[in-house]
Amino acid sequence: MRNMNELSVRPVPCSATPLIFDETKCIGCNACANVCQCDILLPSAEKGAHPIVMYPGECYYCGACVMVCPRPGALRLQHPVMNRAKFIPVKPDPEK
Amino acid sequence: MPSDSCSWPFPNEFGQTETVESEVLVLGGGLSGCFAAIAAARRGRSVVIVEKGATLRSGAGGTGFDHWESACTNPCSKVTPEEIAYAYVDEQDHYSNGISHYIECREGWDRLVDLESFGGKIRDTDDEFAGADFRDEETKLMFAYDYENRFTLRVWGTTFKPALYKELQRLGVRIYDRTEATALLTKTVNGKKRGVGAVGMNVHTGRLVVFKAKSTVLCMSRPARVWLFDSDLTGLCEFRPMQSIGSGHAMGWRAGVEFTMMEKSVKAEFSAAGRSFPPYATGNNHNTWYAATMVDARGVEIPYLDRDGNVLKTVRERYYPVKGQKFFLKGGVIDEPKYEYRGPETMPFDELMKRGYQLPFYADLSRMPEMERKVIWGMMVGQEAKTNVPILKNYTERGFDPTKHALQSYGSGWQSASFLPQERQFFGAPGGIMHDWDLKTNIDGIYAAGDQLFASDCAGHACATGHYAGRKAADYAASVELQDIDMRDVDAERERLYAPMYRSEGVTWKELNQAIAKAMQNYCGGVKCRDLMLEGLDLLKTYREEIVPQLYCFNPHDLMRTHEVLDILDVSEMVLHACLMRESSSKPLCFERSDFPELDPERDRHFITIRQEDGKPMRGVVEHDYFGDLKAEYEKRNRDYIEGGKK
Repeated sequence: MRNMNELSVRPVPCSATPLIFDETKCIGCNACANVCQCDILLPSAEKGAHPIVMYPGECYYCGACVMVCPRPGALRLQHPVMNRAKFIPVKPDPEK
Repeated sequence: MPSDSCSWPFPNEFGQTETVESEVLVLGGGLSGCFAAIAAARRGRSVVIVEKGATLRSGAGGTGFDHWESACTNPCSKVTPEEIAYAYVDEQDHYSNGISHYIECREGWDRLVDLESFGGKIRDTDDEFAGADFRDEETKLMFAYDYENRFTLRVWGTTFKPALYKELQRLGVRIYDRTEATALLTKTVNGKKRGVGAVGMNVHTGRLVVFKAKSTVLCMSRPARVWLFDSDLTGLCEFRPMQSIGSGHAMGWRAGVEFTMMEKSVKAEFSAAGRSFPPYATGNNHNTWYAATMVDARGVEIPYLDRDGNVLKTVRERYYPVKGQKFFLKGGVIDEPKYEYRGPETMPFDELMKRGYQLPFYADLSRMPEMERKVIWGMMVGQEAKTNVPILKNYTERGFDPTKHALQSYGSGWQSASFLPQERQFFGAPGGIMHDWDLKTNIDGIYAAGDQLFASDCAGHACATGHYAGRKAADYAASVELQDIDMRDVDAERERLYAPMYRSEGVTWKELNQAIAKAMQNYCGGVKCRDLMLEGLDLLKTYREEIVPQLYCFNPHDLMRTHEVLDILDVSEMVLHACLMRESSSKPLCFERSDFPELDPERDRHFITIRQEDGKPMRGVVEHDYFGDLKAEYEKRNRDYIEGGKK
């Protein structure tokens, strides 16, 4: 008789931190976890606590979690540092 | 349980099987899937949607899109559906989906009207852009690219998925979220193969779901992670969402569905895990950013040229056809258009270097008229797929102000990408399911829409073909009886799906995905030949025989990812077989063979189709313009729609 693994999970390390919760603002409603199409968030075992970013490397950076969040500022999405494009003050056209 | 792990927060339902019956089954809850379900429900059929993510925001257009292309029947359009559909066929050298593109041209506007009635925003109702050149003052519709002909609309795509979701609920469509469809169920009825449903698995609990249906619509995107993989930033290594990896193609292949153009792949354009930036996140002047003003490092403006090479003096001229030209084409699958359809464009990179322009280049929206600036940064960047939060919001927080700052462009082209020839993607109207005028596959009762169709296009294409396939699937469902399912098929699928849960060590899904991607780069890269591809197939066979039996995982989420990689393995084999079948090279298919260098010889100017029968790849040939006269064939088959209020 084969035995199936007991269900378990451990956070998968990732070089980036796509999602940051502000614990003072998050109400633990799990709306972000419920909408995430890549399913990277798991509801916290603690009632009212923010979900756990269990699979940060699977984040697709679409922003659906922030869009659905009922408490502005409770959740921040940020691209890895390497993906933040540089911008500079505009220059005058030297030909004009 | 590994020592540093915690318990799984959802119930363990492995071993449980739920059976769900409906008349029409829709696999995939993105734009095409939602519209397929809506169309079938409108015809009174009972409908089920199966979605791996959460239908509210899932799919490639889940968090938005900015362009709706080829809406030729909108009240401001100056082109006909026939003009644009045939132009695409010609532009793509007949490796084009005339049927699906015509449906998009003909019915796209009807779907926008639908979306508006569901609560989506398709007009500038707030008069934010009143008086702009691209806005029609009477209808408040806004246009992109060709302001003269007005067939591509600027839309508020962030509002669309929630509106569709609400409509699905209103119509009583049963939505199975967090459920991966894994296999099509077929049966021979009266000597003919027919689709009778599908198998799925709940990705939170492991429960197996058997979906019995009279007809099935495949709406499951296109393959990905075939050549590109990053084990750290996996979610960024492709253009589309993690879950959109071609499971629909894989299950179709396993069931005997016929595909075409699977030999086509292009040098990658987007992989923000490394070689490029997030789409639309850098200074550029294409697509969402058309027609941004570009400057070089010194601040010298990079000129736009008309198709004859004349420098355009005003920003306005970037949006109009040149004298003597009826219209021009731009958009998702238009890269370097033929002279006839070529619109205003800046010079190629090499030419800019020759003329002394200095890197880096920037998009400088401050030099544009206010309305053009505001519509790019704030509307298009903001409504397009993944731009609302990670680009518009975050860059604004970082201090970016389009009136004061120029945004840098990277690398040698406007895509800010620097890929190698072997790093490939299914992009620019790639291969997919072969179909007839009903968007029906070669198997009765199985239909396809959106990105699963060959030579698919944009969001408007997904919505229009989804609705169309939903109608046809509904009509078919009304004519047949629900079939019993052979439980041996279900048992075999359960065994396949659950196998990695019985092992506690071995190989992870990431290790196998990485191995497949490397194999595909090595054996099915930029330049291909028979011996190389046969070696590739041989290697994939060893993966199937030796590595697949070592896959292991501890929860339904990782099991879902493992199933995805099994699908990627199937798709990779299909691609290699398809590449072996075309014994010549082809420019429109971006297909280069060192053993058959002849480019697009007359003998091979047709679609090569591929399907699997008894484990063997079967080759077929379909003539390019098999769709016939677009208008006549369409109208012959859609009188009910045309005369019935276009619903």
